[in-house]
Amino acid sequence: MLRKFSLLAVSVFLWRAHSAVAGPPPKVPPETIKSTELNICGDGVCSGFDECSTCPEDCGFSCQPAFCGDGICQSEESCSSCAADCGNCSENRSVIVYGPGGVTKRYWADYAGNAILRSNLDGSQVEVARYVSGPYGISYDPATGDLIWTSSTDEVVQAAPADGSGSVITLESAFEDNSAIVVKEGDYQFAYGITDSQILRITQNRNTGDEQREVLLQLSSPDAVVGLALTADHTTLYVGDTVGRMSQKLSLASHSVEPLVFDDGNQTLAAASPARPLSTCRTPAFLEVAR
Amino acid sequence: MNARWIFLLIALPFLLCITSGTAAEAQAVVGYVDLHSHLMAEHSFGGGWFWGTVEGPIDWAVRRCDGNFPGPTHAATRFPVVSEFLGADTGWHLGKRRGYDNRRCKHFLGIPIPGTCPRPHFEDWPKWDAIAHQQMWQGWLQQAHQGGLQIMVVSLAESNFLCINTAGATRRYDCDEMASIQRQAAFARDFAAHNSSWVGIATSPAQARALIRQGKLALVLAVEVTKLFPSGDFIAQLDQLRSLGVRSVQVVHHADNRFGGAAPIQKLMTAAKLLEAITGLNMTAIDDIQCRNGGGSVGPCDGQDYLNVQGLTPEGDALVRAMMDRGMLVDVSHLSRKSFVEAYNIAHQRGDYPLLYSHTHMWDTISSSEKKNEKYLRDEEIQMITGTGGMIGLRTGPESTVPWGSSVANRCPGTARSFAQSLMYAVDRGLNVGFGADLNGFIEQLKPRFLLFDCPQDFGDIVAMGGPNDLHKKGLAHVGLLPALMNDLSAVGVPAYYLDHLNRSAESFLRMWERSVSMATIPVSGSNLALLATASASSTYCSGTGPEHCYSASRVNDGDASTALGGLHSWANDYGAPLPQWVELSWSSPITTSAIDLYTTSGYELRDYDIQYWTGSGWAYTVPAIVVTGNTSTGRTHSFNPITTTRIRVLARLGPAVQAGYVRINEIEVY
Repeated sequence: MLRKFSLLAVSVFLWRAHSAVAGPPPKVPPETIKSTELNICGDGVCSGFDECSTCPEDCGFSCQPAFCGDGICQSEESCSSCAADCGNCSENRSVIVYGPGGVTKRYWADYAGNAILRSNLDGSQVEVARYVSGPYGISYDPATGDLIWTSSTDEVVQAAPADGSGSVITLESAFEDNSAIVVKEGDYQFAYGITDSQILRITQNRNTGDEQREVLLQLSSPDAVVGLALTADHTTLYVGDTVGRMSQKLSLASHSVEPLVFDDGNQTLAAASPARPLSTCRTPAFLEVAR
Repeated sequence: MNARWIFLLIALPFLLCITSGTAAEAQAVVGYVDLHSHLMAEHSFGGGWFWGTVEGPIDWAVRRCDGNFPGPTHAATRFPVVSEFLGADTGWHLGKRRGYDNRRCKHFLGIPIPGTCPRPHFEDWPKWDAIAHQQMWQGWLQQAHQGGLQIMVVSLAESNFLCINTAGATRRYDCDEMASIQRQAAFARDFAAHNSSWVGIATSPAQARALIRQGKLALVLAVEVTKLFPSGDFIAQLDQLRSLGVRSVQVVHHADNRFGGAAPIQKLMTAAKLLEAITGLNMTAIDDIQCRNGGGSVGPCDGQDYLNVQGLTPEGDALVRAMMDRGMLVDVSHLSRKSFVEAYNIAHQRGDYPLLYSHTHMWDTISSSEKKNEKYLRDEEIQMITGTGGMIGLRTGPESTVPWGSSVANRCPGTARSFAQSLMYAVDRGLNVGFGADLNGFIEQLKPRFLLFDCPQDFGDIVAMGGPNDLHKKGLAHVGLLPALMNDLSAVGVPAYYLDHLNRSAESFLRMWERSVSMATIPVSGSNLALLATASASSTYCSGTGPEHCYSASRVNDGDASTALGGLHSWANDYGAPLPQWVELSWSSPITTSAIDLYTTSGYELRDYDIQYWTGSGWAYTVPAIVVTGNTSTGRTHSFNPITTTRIRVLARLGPAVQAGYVRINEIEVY
């Protein structure tokens, strides 16, 4: 078989060399008609001109096969399936809340478990605070007593009282490029969004088209913020950080900015209430339990 | 199963019928026609309404839109409240802004960061209710063609009223309607040139058949404007449109004009009134239409009791006759009922000249809950169209219907099931029916069936059948889903008889057009007579099987003047055949000509050639003689004293320096 193949290869080579160097004009004109196979990205089939770099929808997001342990956290991997590459699911997504009566709990987002979990500071009494879809980052608003988290699966921001009362509220939110939220009130509509390294509010008269633009916050760069959320009373914008976790609150009346409380993952206090520290500075033992 | 297989399955009974028929029947075109869609809509309404383009790779042409934040880029009117009134994807539409999503997912600790991952590529548009986002991307159009679409009547449309009310910052062009038509015609020609391997513009039925025989989609240009030929010599302007390749013209659109009364459309009238109230200006005649009942009382235009009292004007009468004189397709869409009857009377007097109603509904099949108008065909109007041997394009709109027969359960209003009721009704009434999709037409399309709450039974059925396709999920979101619609009509129970009817609609259209041309009463200047000729050659080069490998003589009069290289575009002589070689056009009856355009292959230009004509006893040269040497142009026009002949040939004496033995001719046009 190998011999036959070798003979065939040599024959083809000699024929081509002969044609190229000394023969009569080629019988076949130099053009090649290519038939185009229509293959639309998004049809669920990775073929044709689809490839991982041009059509992740069909072909996956990584051009290299995932290998747990190579230190690269790829799309097929997650903190739950490959902690070696992707880290532990509960790390860096926690916040300690000093509740009424001195009851102190650590809350964290369990993305894989679709839940907000909580425990005592010593790691004991791990329990589900709320079941939610794909919670990503979690923070705490001391002014309202609400936990605020993003949903990675639904790309929304949700909030609920940390004390367990009330229900989960999904806020008006936007995460995409030029993140913008539109709210209509009577003859006016308002858009809150990010452009040119600024958080803008555009107020538009629906009847006349007249617009008013206000810079609510100057950012350090166009990419400094990922995601905005508007509180239900339309008085405050929550502002997401580069990893999509709500980290600040922006008053729409005063344009003042206050930090929210969260653990930034570097064992430092990311935000503080005026009265007392709200986050620990050490990796707590309960993380072992959470695994 | 891909679209081609689905099409073949649907078409199989008809194909079998064809193969067992006569020789004449065997040449019939198999496939369907869309009698009204707007391929060049991105250049209408000032060029600022539609997001996305027809041409370009998918990830750019139908890329994700910005939703008009922070400033309007498309789909914005001067007044936001009007945008909101018009459609879901207009004005600020940040929640409905996605097209093809180019983003790449970013992760943090293995978890996708919110806002970085691509949503499904076409999550919110194209979608059945999108009126401002491209529905005719070339890949989708090609998909439709591969699935059975053989002919599309490309409506070059413009509305000064809509244009002047778009946000000024988004406009690329002024709002002159007739200038827009000329611009769109040029873009349509460019599109055909860029995609000449699979599409071409047909200016005659013979050319359309030639294109289809070559496996191409035939485009027929049509015009739809509110103020048609607003002033001046309208006959000269009609001829000017013809010279642009336009073969179908609507007399009116949304408002009464110089030529006749229009069918009033309530939603548009309301929008016009709203805008005029806001601005205090008299911007349009759309809301000036006055409807009266039989007793003469004025009332709200309802398409039934209160009708537009305006019929054809004397100039409208003359325009309709002028179109018939020229063998054009007379599109009676949007005419008021009174105008329609008067147009029919003209057609009937002239031996039942065929009338085209390119996009319409059937009055009797649309539910009473829907807002009907004079555009919805009543039974007596259906009889008039059938009486002329005309044809309709059935709108693929989201209107609910009443049931017709028991073949298709009339649930899931506004979906393929509703379209099925109207289709069966129309065919049973004796109409020739094609699609009148009106894609990119500023209008909603058929709704999806895969809806858990609205269509629970269909939802379950679709799941049981293997899950939904794009048509099920998004409705008739774009032109590429027409084959899926054909398949879905079968799936919901439309009998093969009606599907066969649709699969014969391209042929029905061609026969109607041929009959129109045969009823022309005046010689029409400017027609390319080569399209009526039979081509032959002294020898033909073939490098293999398949049309792309055989440089057949028929390429020289296929209506495609592309100078591209390859067997899909040109004739070439066989290898080694001694020069000169010739290619000849012959006619069954004598023609008179005074100009010949010759196109050769770019990069492989025919260097030396003569053009001769047959005197009846031998070959002769024109005056002046056409003897060319050292040519390097891909296209040349030759004018000469008029001759009358039945045969013309190009005597090709020398090919290009690179391959002197091959002579290539892409197209010969004879005028």
